[in-house]
Amino acid sequence: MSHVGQTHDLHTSDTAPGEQRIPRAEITEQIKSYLIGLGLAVPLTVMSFLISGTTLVWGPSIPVALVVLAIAQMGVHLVFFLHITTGPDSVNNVMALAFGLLIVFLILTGSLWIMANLNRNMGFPKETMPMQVEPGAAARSPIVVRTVTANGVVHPAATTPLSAHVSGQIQAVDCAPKMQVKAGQSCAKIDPRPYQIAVDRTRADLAAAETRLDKDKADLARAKAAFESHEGEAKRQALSRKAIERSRKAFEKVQTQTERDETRAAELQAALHAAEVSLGSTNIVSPIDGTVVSRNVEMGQKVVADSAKPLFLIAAIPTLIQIDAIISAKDSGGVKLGDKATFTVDTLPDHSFSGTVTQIRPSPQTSEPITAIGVVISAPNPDLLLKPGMAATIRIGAE
Amino acid sequence: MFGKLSWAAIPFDQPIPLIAGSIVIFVVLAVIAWIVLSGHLPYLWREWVTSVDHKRIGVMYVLLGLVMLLRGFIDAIMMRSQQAFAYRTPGYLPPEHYDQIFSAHGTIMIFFGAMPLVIGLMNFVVPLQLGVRDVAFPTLNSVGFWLTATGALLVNLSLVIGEFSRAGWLPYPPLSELTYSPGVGVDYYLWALEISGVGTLLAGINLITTILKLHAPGMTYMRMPMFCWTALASNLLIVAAFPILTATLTMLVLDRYFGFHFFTNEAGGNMMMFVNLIWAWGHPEVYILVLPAFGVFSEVVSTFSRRPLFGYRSMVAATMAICIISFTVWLHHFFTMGGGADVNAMFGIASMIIAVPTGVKIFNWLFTMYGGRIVYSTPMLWAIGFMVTFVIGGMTGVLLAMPPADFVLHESLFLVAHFHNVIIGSVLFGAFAGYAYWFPKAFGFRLHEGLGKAAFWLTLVGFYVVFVPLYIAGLSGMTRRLQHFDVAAWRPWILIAAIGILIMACAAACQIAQLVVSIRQREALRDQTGDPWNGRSLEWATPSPPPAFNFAVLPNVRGEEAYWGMKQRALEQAKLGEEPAYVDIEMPRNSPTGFVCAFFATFMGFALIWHIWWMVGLAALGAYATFVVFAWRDKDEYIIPAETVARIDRVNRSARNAVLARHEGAP
Amino acid sequence: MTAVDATAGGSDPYRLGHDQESPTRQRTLGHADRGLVSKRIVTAFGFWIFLLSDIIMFSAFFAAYAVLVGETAGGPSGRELFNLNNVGIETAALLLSSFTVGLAGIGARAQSGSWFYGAMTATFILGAVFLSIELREFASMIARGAGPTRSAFLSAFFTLVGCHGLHITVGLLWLLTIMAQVLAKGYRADILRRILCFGLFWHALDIIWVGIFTVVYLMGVAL
Repeated sequence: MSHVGQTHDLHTSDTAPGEQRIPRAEITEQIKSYLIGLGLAVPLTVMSFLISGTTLVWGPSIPVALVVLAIAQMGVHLVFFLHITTGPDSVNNVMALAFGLLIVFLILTGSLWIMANLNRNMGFPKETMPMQVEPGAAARSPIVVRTVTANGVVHPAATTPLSAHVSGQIQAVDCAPKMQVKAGQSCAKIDPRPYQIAVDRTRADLAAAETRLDKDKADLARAKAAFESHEGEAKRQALSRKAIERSRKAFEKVQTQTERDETRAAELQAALHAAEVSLGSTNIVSPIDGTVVSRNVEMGQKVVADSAKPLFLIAAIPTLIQIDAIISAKDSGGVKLGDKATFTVDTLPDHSFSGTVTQIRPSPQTSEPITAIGVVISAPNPDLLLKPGMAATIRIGAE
Repeated sequence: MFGKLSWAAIPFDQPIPLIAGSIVIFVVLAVIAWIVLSGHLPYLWREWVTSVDHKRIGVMYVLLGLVMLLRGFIDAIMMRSQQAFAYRTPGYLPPEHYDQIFSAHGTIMIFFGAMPLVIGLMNFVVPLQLGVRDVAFPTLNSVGFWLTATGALLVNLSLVIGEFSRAGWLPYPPLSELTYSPGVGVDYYLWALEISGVGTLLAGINLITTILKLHAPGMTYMRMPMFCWTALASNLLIVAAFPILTATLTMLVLDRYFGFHFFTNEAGGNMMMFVNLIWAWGHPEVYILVLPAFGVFSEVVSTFSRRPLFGYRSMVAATMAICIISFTVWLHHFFTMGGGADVNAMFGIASMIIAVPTGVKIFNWLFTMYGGRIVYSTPMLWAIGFMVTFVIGGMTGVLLAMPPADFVLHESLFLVAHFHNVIIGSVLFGAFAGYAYWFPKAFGFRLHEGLGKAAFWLTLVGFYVVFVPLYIAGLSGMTRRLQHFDVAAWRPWILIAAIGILIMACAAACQIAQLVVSIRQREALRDQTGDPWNGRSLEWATPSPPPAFNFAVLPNVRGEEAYWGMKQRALEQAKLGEEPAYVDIEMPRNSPTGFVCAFFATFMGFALIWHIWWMVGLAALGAYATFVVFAWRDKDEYIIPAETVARIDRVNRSARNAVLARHEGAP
Repeated sequence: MTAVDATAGGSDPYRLGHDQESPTRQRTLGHADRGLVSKRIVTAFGFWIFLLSDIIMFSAFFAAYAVLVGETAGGPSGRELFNLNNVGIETAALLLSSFTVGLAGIGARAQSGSWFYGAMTATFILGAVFLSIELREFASMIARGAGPTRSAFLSAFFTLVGCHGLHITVGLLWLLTIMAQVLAKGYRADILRRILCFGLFWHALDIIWVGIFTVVYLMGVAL
């Protein structure tokens, strides 16, 4: 490209990105911009760290504050280090930057919005997927050739789902993953007020119905007495047939009314019972002793009765646990059913547990050629020290 | 020592790839032998392989694109014929092979057919239209081309060594994860695209910088030809979208090679995220392909209607609007994945909105033609064919943009017919129009008109005979990518489509024949002045082919349609302007950097695919060394002396003077 | 050099506007109507476009991280893994190195050996400090069983932060190459262009780090 004879007068052409418009000024002049940039960036950075690490700022606003500070820091970089200005000489640079930022914004917000919707509608992620295991740590190979090492994760036994049986808004959440719970312990509460109102109303209706019933009974007794006395008088032919008819009809009417009111009262009784059960169900309790494996509910969330998605998954603390481990195929020759295995878990590194190999099976991830074998180790857990989700480091084989 | 590579990788037991591969290897070796034995190698190396001239690189891109178009077309013939045979029979292609064919067809057509064609045209034409001598970064241009060629080479190698991906042209996980695609096929795909993606990105950066920063004096943004505007929009999209492709394919590479969990079934991977990210690239990609085609049509329609383009400003606005909106529609490729009503509605509406600026462009072309004196040359025929075909395809697209309709028609042959309708109608027709239009500029002689028109009509008719039945079959419920089927109602449509593909094969034969015949008759078809079509923009001010420096002196541009004004004045005065004062011209030196870089990239890609780790390290080192050697050179330009410039320019001036003398007085 | 003139306005039959001769219009259209720009501007602008494409690539990794941040698959989350003291030192090192690379650019344009080599060395040391802390962090996480194959969250974390670290590594390699070139060939125009591009690159990496330490580390611990 020929540029023979062109002058490079900075005042009549564009600025390159990153260039300052101070032609041939002293070094100290040019450093000023960088010093100002550094001087602004340092306190902004320090503020970010302080905000996240302490309780200076009200909790829910921390992400907003961090984002604002990050944007400020990026702005400082752009202006003082990259010298992106708004002058007419920098138009191309600014337009390019604006285009880039627009695309970044579209990708981030678009992806987050789309994925949030997709995850929610498609039941993603699934909590009950089996835990992924680390490939065998062959690097830590033991001195005794016959021992095979592997890593694994303690398996929960079957998990019990905890769902809401009534609809409403969650008022309190008291359980979190990895918490121990006892049977009957409350894990979440749905706002009971609508149900309380229903109970109260039903109770009031029942009371009114019972009052009516009492009145009916009194009326019935009276009508019955009247009828019987009229009947008696009829025998003595002291009363007209019409009068007997009238009192008999009155008796029957009261009888029917009483029956109806009795039914009504019984219904209300049942309804009251149901309303009380519903009210009781606003307290979501764990049916078993166990560990909370996962939680899928938040404060203020509106839940629907008996939806397919449980609010919590509780795993009973088993007295017999299983560990799924993967060992590399070349080590697997020495492993057979019934082999003893010893293992430790991260949180109790000094406690050695023991178990036996109860299953050898293909690894769930097969690829040609087969490089890994799955091994299941069962171990007793009488002291309930081993909890689901713990990572275990295992040694298999004769010592 | 050689990773997973062994003799078992060569398909000795599969006749079709074996024979096809052997034929290709034989042809390639024969061509190389002919080049070497006839002494053309030094010329080829000096003038083409190491060239950093945008014109040469543009021609090589187009050549690569045309050859790969042919390869992809052969895949298409195989698919249509397999379906024509495979009604209640297994056909002749087993599923493992058929799956590779449809994956290769899509991959090759988009990445190594359409992209090189479009980038090649932009590379060749944009600097000429802007009135400058080359693109902003000539050596980087060469690197970009050769890296693209590396990707094409790797994909074609998979035919004979190993296998290709069976996961479709966009490899959705978990099918593309190691568990379900344990072979090398997906790896071939991934590394070919990662490498050629770098090349494409370099081309994008180059062309944006050229269009925004390099102009002849007086060429303001609003005086640029329309092709330069669409090239700008397309390259902005390249620079914005290809990084997303790189990132997403890298995540899949990490899953496959290192056991990461971006898209796996377990440990929290989310395979829907792959679909989301890949289409965030995929939708802008189709606009990357279509916008330069729109630019070609703007040039062709205005030249062959003999009128300036109608509504230049609205065209510019529409182009930039398409550029931006194309980044807000990508979810329409996965309406049925479960985003829900809100998300589907927003993206559906955006997809319909993007049809508006496209419609503005169509109307502007129509208004340009209206009242003009139309010349029905081959490029103009392609333009008219495009207007009809693309509008039909666009309408089926707007239909699919409605989520309820898409729920019925997704992944059916209706969808396949739609996207072929728009891509063939716009990109292929545009590429062929540009090829016919600028061929004389590139080589100095025109293409044979008769064969060109025959190719056009056969393509147009063949296209409809293939794809209208596919629309109907799709509406009847036939899904895509079927290796065999047993629904009687679909059979007649599949058979008609097979006849259509034969018609299109005849069209391809006509295109090849046209090239052969034109070369043999080149003296009769010679372009004497450099302006065979009575053009309006600056590339027609140069001789055909232009010298290395393009313009003897950079033109001073005063209005739109820079060359048209110059020409009218010359015609009025019955003479050319004064002879300029010629000066020495500095041009960038040739460099083998591009070729050598691609050499190492090929080995690195191959080694990564086959897990030959020592070769990966060596190749990476070689690529770094190439970069350092290039950075270390002291002389990066050479000088063309003023006398040489004068001599070349005077030849062209005398040719133009001769024409002026013949046309004295007549406009 | 003279040029071939064209007629004014004769090719605008539809009068699509543009008062082409107005002085304000000429000036605000920047260089375009004056023709050619210097190589320095062209090179830097091209590199600027490349950097924007790189930032878009990072945003794709950010998007993946944001989607997968909760997918710990029963394994450790950010709060359990991140050591904010290390992150603080890394941030300080990178911020200071951004400052020193600016000084290096000034020194190169002033052709002052002490400024240039001194500032580049300081930049290299600070960058190396950053990298070594990050590598140690990765190694310790992997040793604790919290490597990238443990969960999707960790895959996304290692990829996003690792990609940035890879860019820093390439940058340090580039830095050494530039220093070698200046040593061998002096402050030639093309080498000065490369120093300008390197400065752009390094500043952009610090901008991306601001995003990473805010979104990944600080929000990972605080939320």
